[in-house]
Amino acid sequence: MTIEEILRLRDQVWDEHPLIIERAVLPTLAAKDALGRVWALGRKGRGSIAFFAQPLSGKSSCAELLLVEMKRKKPGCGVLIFEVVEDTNPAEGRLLSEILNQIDYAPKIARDLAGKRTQVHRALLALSGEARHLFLIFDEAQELSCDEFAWLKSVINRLVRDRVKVTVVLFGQVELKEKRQQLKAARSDLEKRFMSTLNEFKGIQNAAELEPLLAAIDAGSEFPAGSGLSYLQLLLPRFYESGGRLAGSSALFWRELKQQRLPGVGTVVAMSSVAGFLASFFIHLRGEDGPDLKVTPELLQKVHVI
Amino acid sequence: MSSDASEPVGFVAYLPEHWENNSLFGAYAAIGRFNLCRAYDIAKLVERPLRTLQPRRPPSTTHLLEFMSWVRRLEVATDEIEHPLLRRVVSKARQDEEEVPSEWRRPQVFWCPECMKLDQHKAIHQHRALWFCPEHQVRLEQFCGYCGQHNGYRIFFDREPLRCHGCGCRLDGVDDGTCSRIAVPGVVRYEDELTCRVAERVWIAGLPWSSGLPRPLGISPHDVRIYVAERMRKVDPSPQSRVLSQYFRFRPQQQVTNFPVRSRNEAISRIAAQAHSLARRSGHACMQDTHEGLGEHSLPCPCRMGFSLWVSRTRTRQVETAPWSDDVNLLAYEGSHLGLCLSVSWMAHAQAQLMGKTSANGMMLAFWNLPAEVRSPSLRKEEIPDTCAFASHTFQWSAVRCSYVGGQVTRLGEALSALEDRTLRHVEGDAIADASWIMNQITAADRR
Repeated sequence: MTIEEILRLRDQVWDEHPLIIERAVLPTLAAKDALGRVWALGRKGRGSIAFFAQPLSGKSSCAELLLVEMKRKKPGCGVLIFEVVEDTNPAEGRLLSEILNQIDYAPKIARDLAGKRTQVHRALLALSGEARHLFLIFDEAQELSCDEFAWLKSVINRLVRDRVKVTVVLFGQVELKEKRQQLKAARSDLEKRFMSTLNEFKGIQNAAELEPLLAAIDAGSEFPAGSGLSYLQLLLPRFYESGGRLAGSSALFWRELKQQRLPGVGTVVAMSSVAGFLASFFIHLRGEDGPDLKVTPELLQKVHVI
Repeated sequence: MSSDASEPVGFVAYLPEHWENNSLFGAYAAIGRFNLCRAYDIAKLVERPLRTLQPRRPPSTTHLLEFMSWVRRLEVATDEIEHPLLRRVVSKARQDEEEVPSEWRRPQVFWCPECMKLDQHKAIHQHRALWFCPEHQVRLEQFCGYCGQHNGYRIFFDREPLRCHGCGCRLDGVDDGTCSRIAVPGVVRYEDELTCRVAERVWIAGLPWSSGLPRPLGISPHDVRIYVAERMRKVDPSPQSRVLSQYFRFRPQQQVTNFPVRSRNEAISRIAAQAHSLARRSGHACMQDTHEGLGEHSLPCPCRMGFSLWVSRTRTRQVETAPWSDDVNLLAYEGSHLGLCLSVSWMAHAQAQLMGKTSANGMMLAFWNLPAEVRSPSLRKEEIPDTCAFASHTFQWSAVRCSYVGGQVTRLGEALSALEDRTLRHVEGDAIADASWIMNQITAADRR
C-alpha cells in the first residue's frame, strides 16, 4: 500500500479509529498480569479470581482482552462477559433472563423459573464449546448481591457436574473489598468460592510499563481489521515509513502522563488519561505527519488533552 | 453480502452432535428441544439473515424440500457466511443435498426406529431407494406408530418434527407406553425377510405385479402384498400394515365362489351393477349424478374416483388377466380389481388431507403408475395357486362417507344464500350433506 493510499484510507476511517475514539484495547502490564493469573487458574476444573481497581483504570478493556486471549490460547472455549447492573430487588428469574439477554440468546426465554434455569444451563453448556471450558467474566461485580452469588453458584455447579471447566473472573470497583467482607459474614462458602483471592488491578505506574503499550501501537495492533496496518502506520504513515516509533519515547510520554495522575491514587495513571492523551497526540499530529517528525518533549507539551 | 447477513446475530445454543448425527430436519428438532422451544422457532431464526443472500427471495426455511433446492442454487460459499447458525444450516442443507439428491428425496418422513430412540433422524432415511436404515439394518418406518398417518417432510408451526401431525404422539409411539415394535434388530430383520419372501409369492387379483419399486407417493403395491403376507403368516402387523388394514380388506378363500360368467365383459358389467346398487343403498349420490359431472362446489368422493379409475383401467385393459383367464373366477377377479381401486382412492384421499399439499389424485395415480406393469412377465398359473388373494369391493361404500354434493342441492343452496344475501360458505357442512341425502332418497324413490 502506498503512502497516498494509506492517507486516503486514514481519512475514511479516522472517526472510527480505536485510538481516536479512545476505545483501543492495548496490552498493559496490569492486563498481562491479569491474563497470566486467569490462564493459570484455568487449569482448575472450577476456579475464581477477583480484581478491584479505581474507576477508568481499564478493567472493561482488560475483560475484552481476556475474551480475545482466552479464545486464542484455548480454541473452542467459551467466554461470557456479563455486565452486572444493580438490582434493588434481586430475583433469580431476572438474573437468569439477564444472562440469556447478555449472550443475545435468540430463542424465546421460558417464563417459568425451572425453564429459565434449564435454558441458562444449556446455553452455557453450548457456549463452553468443544473445549468444554467456560470463562465467566463479571464486570462491575460489586453490584452482585449475596443472593445473586448463591444463584450463580448453583448455575456453575450444574455446569461442573456436566464436566465443564468454569473459570469465574470478577472485575469491580474498590467496593468489591466491602462485598467480600459482606459475603464472609453472610455466606462464607460464597466468599471462598468467588473471592478467595482479591487482586488489585492497577493502571500504568512508570515508563517501563508504558513501553509495551506504545510498542503495540507501533507494531502489534491492526486497524482496519485485515489491512495489515498498525495503528501508527495508519495514523502517521510518513513518520512510520521513515522509521519513527513511539516505543523509544516512552520516557517522554511518561513525563507528560504522570502530570495527569488523579489525586489519591498514588503514582498510578488511569488508563482513561492515557487513552485521552494518545488520542489528542494523534489528532494534534494529523496535519504534521512527515519523515522529519520527531517526538520531542516540546512536541508533547503542545498536545492539549481534549 | 455475508456481513449484512451477520447483523442480527443471536445466540442459539446447540451441541456439535446435534448437527453431526442428524439431517437438517432432525437438527432443527434437536436444537429446538435443547433450547426448550419449537423447531419451527429455530428454523424461523435464520430467515432474516437468509434474505441478504443470493438468489433473492428464499423460500421459508420450514419448507425443507424447497429450501434445499434453493440452497443448491445458492451462490455464496458456506465459509463466507458469518452468521453462525445460518452457516451451519446452509452447510447441513448442502450436505443433505449431496447425500440425497432432490430427485431421490421422499416427500414424507421416513424414520428408523433405532435412530428414533436416540431422537435422531438422518438424511439417508429420505432416500427413495432405501428401505432399511444403513446403520441399524432395521426396516424404515413411514407411518405414525400410534395412528398410522403419513407426515410431510417439513417443519410445522404446531408440532415437533418427530411427532405425528394427526395424534401429536412421537412417531414411534414411545411416549404412549407402547415400545417400539422392533426390539432386536437381527430378529426383526429375519422376520421381515421371511414376510418379504412370502409377499413376493402373493398374487392379488387386480393388483399390478411389480417387484416392490418405491412409489413417489404413499405406498407401493408391494406393501399391499406384504400386508397380505403378514395376515397369511399370522405375524404382528407392521405399522404400515396397520394403516393398510383400515383401507383394505381381503375375502377369505371360502367366500370366493366360482360364479360362471361367459366373458370378461359380462364380469365387468355385473360388478358395475353391483357397485351401483351398493352405492345407492349407502347413499353415494356421486354415483347417481354421473351425467352431471363434477360441479364447481362438488367435492370429490373417494368411491366415485376409485370407481372411475376402475372403469378406465378395465376399458384400457391395463390389467394383466392372462393367468386368470383359463378357469379362474373372472367375477371375483374384477371385484377384487374394483376393491383395490376403491381402497387406494380412499387411502389417497385420507392421506392427502393429512399431508396438506399433495393431491389425492396424484397420490392415487402414483400408486397405479407402473412403467414395468405391462412389460412384467405374467406368472404361470402353477406358480400362484395357494397365494392368490381377493380384495373386497363392498365395504368401502358404507365405510366412506360420500362428500359429494349433488347439482340439485348446490343450486338449492345457492338460491337460498342469494335470498338471504349471503354466500354459500360451507357446502360440505352437515346441513347441506343432510339435505343432499334427503334429496337423493327422494330421487331414488321417484325412480322406483
